[in-house]
Amino acid sequence: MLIYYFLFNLIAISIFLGIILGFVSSYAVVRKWSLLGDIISHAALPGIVYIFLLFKNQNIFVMLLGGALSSLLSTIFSFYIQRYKSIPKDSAFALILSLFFSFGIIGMTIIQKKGIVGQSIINNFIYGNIVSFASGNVYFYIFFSLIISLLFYISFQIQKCIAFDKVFSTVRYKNINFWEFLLLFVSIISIIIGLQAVGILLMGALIIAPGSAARLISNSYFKMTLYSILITVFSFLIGIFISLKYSNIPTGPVIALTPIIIFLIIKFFRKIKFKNL
Amino acid sequence: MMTFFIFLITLLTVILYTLIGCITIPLNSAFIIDAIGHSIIAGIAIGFIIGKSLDSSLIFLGAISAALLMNLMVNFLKKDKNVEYDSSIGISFSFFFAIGILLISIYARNVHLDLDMILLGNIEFAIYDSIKFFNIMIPKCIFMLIFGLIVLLSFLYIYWNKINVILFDKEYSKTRGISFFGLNLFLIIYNSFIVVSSFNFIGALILTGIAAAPFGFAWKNSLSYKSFLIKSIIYTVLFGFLGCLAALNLDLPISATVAFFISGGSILKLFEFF
Repeated sequence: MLIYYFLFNLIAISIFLGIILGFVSSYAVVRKWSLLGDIISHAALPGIVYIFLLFKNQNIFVMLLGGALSSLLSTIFSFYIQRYKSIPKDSAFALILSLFFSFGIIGMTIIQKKGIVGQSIINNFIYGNIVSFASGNVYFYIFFSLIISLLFYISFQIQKCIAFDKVFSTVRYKNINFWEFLLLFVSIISIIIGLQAVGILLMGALIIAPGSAARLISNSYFKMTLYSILITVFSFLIGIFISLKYSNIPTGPVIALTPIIIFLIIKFFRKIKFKNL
Repeated sequence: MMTFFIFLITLLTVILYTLIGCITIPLNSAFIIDAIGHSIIAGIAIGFIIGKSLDSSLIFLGAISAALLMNLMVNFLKKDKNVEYDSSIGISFSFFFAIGILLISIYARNVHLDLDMILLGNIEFAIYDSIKFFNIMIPKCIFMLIFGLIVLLSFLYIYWNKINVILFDKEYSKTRGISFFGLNLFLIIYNSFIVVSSFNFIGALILTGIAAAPFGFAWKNSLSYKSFLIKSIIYTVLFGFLGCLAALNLDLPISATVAFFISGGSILKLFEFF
């Protein structure tokens, strides 16, 4: 009985996570932010590590809050130096990524040297372990995902407007800067929640691949978001299924690899089949 | 003597990576370096599984072919107008990286090959792997680094004019018939050579920070490409030295501390703190 409860929890969480990450993925690909997923996930490490070092508690929500704060800081910082110091996008992202991630690695070594209990939680964040969700508070995650997906659903027109015509969006909506910041913040929160499943090192793939794959087979933003959600949920389910069946295969790489393989298949067969979809 | 060798290895690596970064920064492809550093892991894992040891040349071959395949994949994907250049880089490197992690965690669980080692390296072990030279024990990796530096510097010296034309005026280089392909191929092979031969003491992670750092240090305040190279080498060596000193005194991992100091110093210089 216990195993069914466990499996039910995992599947429910993966479906809700897939929905919010699918929304984030299509928005990020359309906004040309696809490498930002990589930056956000890497920059979460110092927040998680130093919160753990400071308060020495294993409450996962406090650590998630720290991760979200440091990712938000890194994102704002990278946009600032792109705009006011006129650095190209690539170099700014690479600089910020290495600054935050190496700072996090230094903190991790301090934790290992001090031998604080509960280091395995941080390893879950780095390599990803979807089973860690099942022991947590499931309803909390579901509640959060519902709020985030509702926000994405409400702001659908605004997303479309910002992504495809920036100038028109400033004319059409009054407080467009607020909405843009809100969407960035919500994307960061959903990426941070997803970190436990996929891991810091591979989260970037899950942000880029489903959106890009959906973009190849769709002719409207609505269809693109729909396909991207479907691909993300499918890859989460595949990851859970494979790692339950074969115990020595980790979940994170499988979840990250599935949308990339879907993307490559679509890329090769697109001209034959999906042209007028 | 130990401390001296640690400083020497770190600073030689910093100089090498800075030179590579100075070549790639005007091409606006700083993330390609990061992508090569990540995708090599798949090649190392496959070479290890076939050759069953960490010293075989199969690892080297696998890493170079993984880097070449990754670059081919980027070039193939970016031709499609529905796929962004950023997305094509991200998809191709995470494809190889995920395959590498999967293979390592399935086949190499109980061996001295885990992800921490590839990403961070361990300089303290590499020092003991030394050979005798004029009655002094000198670590092998120093010879490797000096050889790599000589190759890169002679390449820069021989093709100096052509490289300048390619980096700063692509249209003109096309009309003169100077091919971008050769430089790109050299960069890929050289990068994978350097990363593969240095991953066990300095790690693949440090590469991203150092390769992007010259932009903050010297892009704005240098008048020619030569002064850009010299200034960025001076600044990165200075900050690398400080980072190495801090790491040895506070007992921190050397590669992460050096990367933190260099990228932090680059951002401080960008905001004109000194």
